[in-house]
Amino acid sequence: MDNNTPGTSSFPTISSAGDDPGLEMLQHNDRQTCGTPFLDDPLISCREIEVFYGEQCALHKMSLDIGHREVLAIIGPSGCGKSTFLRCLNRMNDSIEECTVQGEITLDGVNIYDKNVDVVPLRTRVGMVFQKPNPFPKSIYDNIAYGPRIHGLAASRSELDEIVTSSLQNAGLWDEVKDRLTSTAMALSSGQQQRLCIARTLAVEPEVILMDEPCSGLDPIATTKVETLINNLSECYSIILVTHAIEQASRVSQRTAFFHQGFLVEVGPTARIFTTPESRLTENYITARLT
Amino acid sequence: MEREKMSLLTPSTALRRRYLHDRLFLLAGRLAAIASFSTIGLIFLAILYTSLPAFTQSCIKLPIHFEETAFSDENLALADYDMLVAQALARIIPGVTDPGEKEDLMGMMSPGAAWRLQQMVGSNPKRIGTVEQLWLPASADIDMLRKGKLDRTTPEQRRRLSKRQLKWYDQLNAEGRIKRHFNRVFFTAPNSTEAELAGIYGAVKGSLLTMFITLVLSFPLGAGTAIYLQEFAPRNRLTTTITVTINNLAAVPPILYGLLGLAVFINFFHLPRATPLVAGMVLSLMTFPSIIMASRNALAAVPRSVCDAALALGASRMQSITHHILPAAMPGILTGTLLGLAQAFGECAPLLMLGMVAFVGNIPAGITDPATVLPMQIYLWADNSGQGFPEKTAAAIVIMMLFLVIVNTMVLWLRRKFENSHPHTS
Ligand SMILES: Nc1ncnc2c1ncn2[C@@H]1O[C@H](COP(=O)(O)OP(=O)(O)O)[C@@H](O)[C@H]1O
Ligand SMILES: [Mg+2]
Repeated sequence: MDNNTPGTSSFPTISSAGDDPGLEMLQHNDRQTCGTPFLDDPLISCREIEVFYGEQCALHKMSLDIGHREVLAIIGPSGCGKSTFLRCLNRMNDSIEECTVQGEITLDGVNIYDKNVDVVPLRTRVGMVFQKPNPFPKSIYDNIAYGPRIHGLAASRSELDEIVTSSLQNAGLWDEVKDRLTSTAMALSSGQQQRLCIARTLAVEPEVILMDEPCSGLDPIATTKVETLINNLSECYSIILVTHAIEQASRVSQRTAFFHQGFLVEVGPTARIFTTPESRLTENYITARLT
Repeated sequence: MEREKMSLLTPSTALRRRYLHDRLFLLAGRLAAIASFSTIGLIFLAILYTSLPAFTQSCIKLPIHFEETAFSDENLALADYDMLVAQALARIIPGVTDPGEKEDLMGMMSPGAAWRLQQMVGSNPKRIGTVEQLWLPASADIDMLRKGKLDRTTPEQRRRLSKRQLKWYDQLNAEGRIKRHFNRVFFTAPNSTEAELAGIYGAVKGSLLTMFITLVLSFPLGAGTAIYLQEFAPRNRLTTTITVTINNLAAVPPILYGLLGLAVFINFFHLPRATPLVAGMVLSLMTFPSIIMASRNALAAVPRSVCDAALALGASRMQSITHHILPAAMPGILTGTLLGLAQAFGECAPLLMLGMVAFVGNIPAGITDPATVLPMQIYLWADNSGQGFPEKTAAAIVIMMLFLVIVNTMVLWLRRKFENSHPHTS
């Protein structure tokens, strides 16, 4: 499912971290980001951020802007720091004890790593969908209602019902589950569970949604549904999508960033990255995966 | 060199040797399983068989005349109930005049017979002046004879029943005046020096009160400590030391906890000896480490993905723990607590140090009354060579095993529930 071009689809290729094509050593001039990392009116801007796990540097000094209502795809081989970068943006790294983040990330001009910043409002504004669907072992309704409940977003039961309904509708799951809202979410298929997790994130009305390989465990049909959903959501939300499948990046994103061994190698409009990449590394990675 | 093809139909010698090893291993495993199961089964059956007589009590039917002259005193408890029994015996076995013979005749009945009469009159004084045919408990020796546990052929001087008593027994038996009844006393009475009056209830209640104290102290403390250490405490040298210490505490011989309880709770704080309060405090010290370890394992087994989901929705660390991790870990925590309690329930050694080995002839009313516990009762009865006590010992063991079976069934049920409600953790 990863890099099946139409011609090879009957012979699925297996790709894993080990035999990732396009993996090669960085040269000194690759440490400079190519392309256009900066925007005029960014929603989030990262400046010179650096992430360490203990002594090990997982993300080298990098800067990147994320705009309003855009889909930014992040591609790159396994272990290049995509998830690490994503976790910086809503401070999910805080719960990893040995992880330290340096540099500045601002959301609407406020540095989210400032010591006065409260992570609760930050995470309600920057939601996250994980690689493996992780619904709570509760009913479908309670899964969606959990966020609004802890934040007190609904004054009454009917308001809560409305939030649940609209979230499920926006996540394209409403028709499939409307008759069994009270049954357990664990009984859904993994594709439905992933869309439930997206609906759960939508219920707290975030501005940014971080998605960490949301389709990696899904079958092609479920993947198509999630991609359609991302397309629809990009009208209202900024979405940062980490993906292993670069065709997915070309299908849903406006901008693409390529990470390699902890460096942000290149970033720019998706069409340009896929046709005329500036960096040799980007070109090698993309051509190896598209053919 | 070309490798010879392996025949699909006739296995080679090497393959046959391999199969032989497999079969020997399987056989050894089965033999071990059969040996352990049959040993346990035999022990259990033997205990059950020994205990059966303790659940019944032989009674003798006596015509009791509650004559008004016997109740001349205002205080009904002061009436001579032994005399009522003696008169009734004289009615069914007339012509006994010799004092020694009279004593033999009275020895057929349990001291509990008079006590029963006292209770009956106390609960309903209208009985005075009436005549009733009552089944009253026979003495332990008659009881044993009735249950076939007394050999008539032993010479008289070594026999516990005299020739006369045997003759009367046969006479009463022929008249249908001797019968085995369900031994209610065993389930409702405290300990007694007379086997036919001794019951298990005092010890059961003592055990339950002790377990209550143990649960109330060790569950919140143990679960709370586990939650703090597992979810909140920073991983540094201090918390590592604490963790190691707790793990080591679980391996300390229980009697040391008894010594500690004696020194601290009784000698220093002057709490009353031999009470469920002190016993529960000491046993909770003992179960505390195992509850902490079981709870930490249960907490660690909850998938972090659910916790992450809550955090990413803006739940605080505390909320993600109380809303998601704790409910998922609760069955595991409860299982650990129940297993810890079951261990404490059968513990004897630390309680020896707290004076619980003393004879307690009352049913404890509260946690500060002197009491004993089931395993201690078993120990005391096993030490008593009197007639009927070996059966009581076995019966007490059966009761104790019943409690353990109940606890283990609850544990199984909790596990099943855990697996059903959290499929992705199993
Ligand atoms: N919790 C962690 N502790 C230590 N090292 C980590 C942790 N998470 C990730 N890393 C390391 O950081 C690097 C980047 O990981 P990650 O961001 O997960 O990569 P990707 O998502 O691109 O596959 C890897 O070398 C990985 O070993
Ligand atoms: Mg990743």
